[in-house]
Order: sequence, then C-alpha cells, then structure tokens
Amino acid sequence: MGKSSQKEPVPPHPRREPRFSGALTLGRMEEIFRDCADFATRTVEIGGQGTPVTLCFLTGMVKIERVSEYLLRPIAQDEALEEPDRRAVYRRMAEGALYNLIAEERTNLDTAVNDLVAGWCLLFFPGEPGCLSFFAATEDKRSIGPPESETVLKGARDGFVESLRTNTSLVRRHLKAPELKIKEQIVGRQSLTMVDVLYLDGIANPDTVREVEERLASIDIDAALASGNLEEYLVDRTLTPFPLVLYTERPDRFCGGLAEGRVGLLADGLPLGYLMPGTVGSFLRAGQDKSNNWVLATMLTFLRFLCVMGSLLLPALYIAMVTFHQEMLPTRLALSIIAAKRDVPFQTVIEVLILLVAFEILQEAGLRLPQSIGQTVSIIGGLVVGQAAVEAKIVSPAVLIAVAVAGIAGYTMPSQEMAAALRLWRFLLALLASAAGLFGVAGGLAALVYHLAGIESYGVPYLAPFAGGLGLARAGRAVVRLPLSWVKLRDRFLKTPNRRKQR
Amino acid sequence: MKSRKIRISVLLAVLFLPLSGCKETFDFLPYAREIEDMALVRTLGVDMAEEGIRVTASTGVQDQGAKAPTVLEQKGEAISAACLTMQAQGAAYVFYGHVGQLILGEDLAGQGIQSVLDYVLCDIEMRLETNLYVFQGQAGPAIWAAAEQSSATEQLEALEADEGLLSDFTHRTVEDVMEDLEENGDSFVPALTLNEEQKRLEPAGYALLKEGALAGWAQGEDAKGVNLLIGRVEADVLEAIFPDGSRAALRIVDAETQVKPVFQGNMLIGLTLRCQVDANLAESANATGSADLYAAEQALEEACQARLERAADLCRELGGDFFQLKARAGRNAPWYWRAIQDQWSLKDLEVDVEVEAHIQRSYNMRDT
Repeated sequence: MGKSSQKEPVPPHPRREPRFSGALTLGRMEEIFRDCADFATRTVEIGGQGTPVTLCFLTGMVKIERVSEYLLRPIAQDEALEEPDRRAVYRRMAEGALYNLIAEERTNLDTAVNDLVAGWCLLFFPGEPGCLSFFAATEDKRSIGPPESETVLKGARDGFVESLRTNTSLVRRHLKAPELKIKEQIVGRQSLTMVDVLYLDGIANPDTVREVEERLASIDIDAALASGNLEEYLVDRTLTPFPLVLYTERPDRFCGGLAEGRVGLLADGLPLGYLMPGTVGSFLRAGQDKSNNWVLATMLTFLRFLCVMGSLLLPALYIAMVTFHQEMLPTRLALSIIAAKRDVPFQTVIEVLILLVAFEILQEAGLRLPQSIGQTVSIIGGLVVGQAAVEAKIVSPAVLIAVAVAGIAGYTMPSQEMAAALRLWRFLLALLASAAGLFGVAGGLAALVYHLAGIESYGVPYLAPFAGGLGLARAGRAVVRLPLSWVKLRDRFLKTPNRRKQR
Repeated sequence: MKSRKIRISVLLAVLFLPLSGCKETFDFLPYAREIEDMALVRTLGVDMAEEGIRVTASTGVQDQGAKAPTVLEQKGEAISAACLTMQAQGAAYVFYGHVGQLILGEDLAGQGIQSVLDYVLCDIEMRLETNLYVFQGQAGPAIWAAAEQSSATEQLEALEADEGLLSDFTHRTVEDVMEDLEENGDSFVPALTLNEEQKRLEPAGYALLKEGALAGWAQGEDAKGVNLLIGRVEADVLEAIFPDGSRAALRIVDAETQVKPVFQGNMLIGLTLRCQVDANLAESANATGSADLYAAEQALEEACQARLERAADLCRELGGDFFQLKARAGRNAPWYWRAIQDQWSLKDLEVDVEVEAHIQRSYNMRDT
C-alpha cells in the first residue's frame, strides 16, 4: 500500500475563546478593524471644549441621522455634561443623557466587537476601562411585500423579508400571545448569523424545542448564509432528496404552523421561516387551503395527491405499457402510438429520458435567467423545440405529452422541494420500468415507500399521518379538509402538551 | 467502514453486470418489445382444415388513411401452433392482445367450440372480452374478402356500434358464452354471413350451440324473438294495421321479458314468458284516438307474442336451453330452484307467452 492510499488527516478546527484578546481600548479596536474601509471614528469634545470622547462605528451598518442627532449633538451641546468629573459624565451618559433607546456598558472586547458589527456605536472615554455601546443600526431593508413563490388569492399579503427583527415582528403581529417565545442563537463563526427559535409555550412539544435548540447550538460552520446551510444541520437524515423541514415565506402560514404545535425557526438574512417537524401531509397542503371552502380544498388536495402519482408514475407507466404490457392499452390508443412512433429511431426509454432531461434543462435555464427571458426560453424550449423534435421524428408526440403532463403535474406541489424529489424518483422509476415493466415500477414504488417509512423528522414518522398507527380516519383527514369547526384537536403525532384547540 | 466498502463493491458489481454481455444473467426480467415493431391482430378467424385448424388473422386498418389491412393465414394442428407459425411470416411480432373479434367457421362450430374457448382462456395474450361470432361457411375466406373492401375488423366494429338499431343481432363475448356453457352446455352466438357483392360481413341472426356445438340457426323473426327474450331491443319498426285498414309504424324502444316457472302443487308444468314492450307511434296519418292506440297495442302484442313463441319453439325443437331459461326461471323463483333443477325438461313444459305493450308516445299534440 502506498502513501496515496493513506487517509489525509483532518486538520483541527479549534474555536478560539475569546476571539480577541486584550483590553477593550480604542487602540485595540482600531487594530482589530485595521484595513476595514467602513470602520470610522469621530472624536468630539464634551460640550465643545471639555474632555474628548471617541465614537466608533461601521458606516453602512448604522443610521447616520440617528448617530448625529441622538449621540453627537448631546455630547457636543448638552451643558449638563460639562462637568469636570469624568466619571460622573460617563455615568450620566450611560444612564440616559444620550437619548438612545438601548445603551449598554461594555467591558469585554469580544462583546464590543460583536456590537460594532451588529450596527452599534461604541463611545470611548479616555481613562475608562470599557466603553458605552449604543444601538444605532440602520433599518434599511427590503420593504414587506407579497411572497413571490407562494401566491395568495384570499389571505394576508405580507411576506418575510431578510431582516430577522422585521420577521419576528411580523410573527408577533399575527400571534399576539405572550406565550410566543423567541430564543436567539448565533450561528456561523464568520457570518455570526442570528437565528431565532420560535414556539408557543404550552402548545409546542418541549422535546422538539429542546432538540431544535441543541442542533442549532451544535452547528459549527463558518457561515450560515444560504438556507441549505441551516436545513441540512437541522434534519435527522441527509441521504434523502425529500424535504424534512417545511418552509414558508408567509407569516400567516408560519404562525398557523406554530399554533398547530410545530416549532419555527427564523434566520437573519433569509426571507423565509422553517417549521418542524415536516411530514408528507404537510408538504401537500397549500397555505390557501384553509381559506378555501372545505369541499373545494378537499377536491384540490385530492387533485394534488393525484398529481403526485401522475408526476411520479406517468413516464414509467408509459414505458412499461408501450414496451412490456401493450395489452393494457386501449386498442385505438395503441394504434395511435404505433402511428406516432413510426420512423422514430430511438427506443421508448431513450425517448422518455431525452425528454425528461430536456425538461430539467429547460427548467434550470428558466430559473437562472431573469423572469422575462426565462419565459421566452420556456416558450422556445417547450413549444418550438418540442414541436420541432416531434416533426423531426426524434421523439413521438405521445412521449412528449406523457412527459409534459408529468412535468406540469409536478408543479401543483405546494412545496417545490417535494416536487424536485419526486422528479428524481421519476427518473429512477422510468429506468426500472424500462428494465422490468410494471414489475420494475412496483418494485421501485415499494423501495420508495420503504425509503420514506424509514425517515423521521424530530421523532415524527415522515409518512404520518399515513403511517405511525394513527388510524384510517386521521390518514383520511390528510386528504379531506374537514370544516374547521369539526377539528377540535391538534395532530396527535406532533405530541403537543395541549391537544384541544377549540371549544 | 469495512461493511460500507463491501456494500459499495456489491452495488458496483450489480451496476456493471450488464456490461458482462451475459444476456442469460437477466433472463428473469420480462422481455421487452417495442410497440411499433408489432402487428396488432384485431380479428381472428378459425376454420377446420384438412389436417387440423386454419387460422386467419387480420390487423384491421392500422392507421387512418393507411394501406389495406394485413391478413395472415396459417394451418396447424392446433390454434396455438398455427399462431406460432404466423410469427415467422414477417419481421413484426404478431400480437394477439388486441383481438376484438373471434370468428368461427361453420364446420368448426359444428364440431364444437370448446377447444377454441380453451385457447382464449389459456393464452396469455387473448382476452375473454373478445366478441365471438359464427360464420355461415368458412371464416377465413370471408376475412380475406372483407379486406378487399375495408377490413373485417372495421365492419364488425361498425356492426357492434350500430347493434342497437338491429333487432335481430347483438354481440356476445367469449366470457358470456363460456358462462352459458358452464351453466348448462348450451348457448347462442351471433351469426355472420358475407355479402359477396359488397364484400361486407353482415348479421345473420344467431347460431345456437348445444353441448358446445352448432345445433341450428335462429334467423329473421326467430332472431327477433331471441332479442325480445334477452331484452335487447332498442329500435325495431313494426307495421300495425288498424280495423279501418289504415297503417301505422310502431317503433319498439324497449322490451323486458321475465321467465316464470308454473307449478301445480310441487310439479313444474310450464313456463310463462311475460314480456313488457314499450313502443312509440312513429308514423300514422289517422291514428289519433284511444281506440287506434289500443288497436296498435294489440297489433304489437300479437307480433311480439309470435316472435317469442318462435324463439321458445326453437329451444324445444332442438332440445337445448340456448337462452338459459332454466337459470332465469330459477332466479325468478329461487325457492323452487331445487324442483326446477330436478324436473326441468323443456320439451315437456307448456310455454305460455304473455305480452303487454305500451305505446308511450303518440305525437298527438292535441291530447298533450
């Protein structure tokens, strides 16, 4: 065995505590933020002629008007601060002489540095061992607008934005219960992302809350910038394409999940909220369902389940029936397919795979381009190339229809992550169908059920309420949306301490 | 770690197995055939040949505006042998999963159709829903002849689609006939003949099967009596003559016949065929009064009674219960089922036919 076969040792990844050593002084602060163009200081004499004090801040992170009006002006002009006793002036400033809502006294260098990057201003007094920290963060952010990926006809139009505090305020406005708890943790060594765990005390399962907090605390990564950075650390199992935590851009849906007994999670910089645990049934429920008439909502849910089956099975069934089980086709349909496939040089499975791959490419291209160009690509790809491929006898019209219907059926999923997972399995089932016809499809479906049955999300079976011994009635309610007044209890599988939700 | 390596190795071995070139490795998988490489047989004719069986297969017109149907013919000791030989006649795989019509020649039907039904039952491609016909003569030449015009498939499909307009013809599937034969050994099958001039297959009443073999034919008024007996009349025009000599056309739109056993004490002495017929007054210049309608109903009852009696007479003459009268009588009086089974002898039973006719619409706007 040579050296190359030996495993390269993983270098240590120690967390330095404290992050910055030394005393909390202006000089140390300037040293830490050396080569930082946005680091700024401003020295002002108290009362215009007294003791010089220095204000540090990061431009762009603070609201300049607030700093000027509520910090610099009083320091420069307030006669009450013109005292010879520096210590007394320091105390007066800390206790309200400066009109800032939040003022803290800092003696720890790490805390002060974190404050600075979070948009606070640090005021250094000559001779004082610490500094005063004032909250002056800018509130520049995207304004609250309707969520783009979860359109709503009847319901609230507000959507989460990238600011964590704005998002928590949106949740507070929907759920005014004092029992709404918001616990915060910092995730990411470099990003220092604020992540909040939200839940309704007395309704959410305390075990789930604790587990979410523990998993968050155990995350030791450089940066939590993308949604995947958090998701993959929050789920039990990563070797599955299926989503295990539900996400939504809509505060009303998020709050609905909290009221059901789920645990929510909001992260700074992400315009969406996560709900845990996630189960198959929850991914097939649209936020609109509770706003619709229950009969209509039931029909639409049933349609969605039908579309899941169609999206998953249609290409595979087409291959199986055209290649192995021709007797299953109605005679006239069989004759139409024969006529359509005449002169097409490829085997059925190759035709289907070509179109499935083309469908994925079109979708990816449409997503990466601006919306207007994306639509053009879709039209050119879907209609022009599709039509040309049929006329050139590269694929048959029947395959085009089967793959297109399967693709469109996939778009009915409220969760596009679930739709993407189904698309992966669609490929697998198509390959199995080409190998063994309906036997292959049945085997593939059995493998899918086996895979799903082995997944848990925070101790809840992923297939709940269809699995987990919840009974046929509860399983039926995943499809049938009963009138809301009939549903008195919260889902048992969420293990909520208080199951009753209405009189 | 070691078990993971083993698992990955096994997975790779399985994935690379197809590259070995050993086709036998995958013999357990079903065999794939592309549908465009198939000839879908839709009509099958079976005749007696000098030595064994002659099978004629027609694909029907496969495509709109396409060429004439493909017709194949082979002889063999059995149907399956002939069908297997047919595979060698062209590059395409001859597929029998879409056979919709099975036509038996008169000779073969005379010797018994059980072997043909067994073939349909046992063959993995054939369907029990296939329509069964008996041709008056040889089925094979008729299929060839029909192919000159359009195809036997299209002609028989047209017949099936329009059978509601025919009062002496209805389709029967292999499954229907097998059920009958299983019940009492007798059954009936629609009969076909060939219009030599137009090269068209045409209905010719019914072939009556006794003990699974052709025993006789029900044609013309007899066949119409069969349709009344089995309640398959959707459109039949009958002419009625009124007392004043005027004529009217009656259109029969529905008929339902009940078979009731007649007992004297515990002795089965007869059968009552009670038929209820609904008709419309289709054409009539003068029939406007209730007396005319009554006369029309009378005329209708007489005509239907005569037809039903002829159908019942056929059963007695040929000694077969072709229309399952025994089973129907039993279903009508299940508490007598044991006695009916023990005492059933159709030729000794007195058959009484009762017809009740209703003219549902007279088109007389003044009375409405």
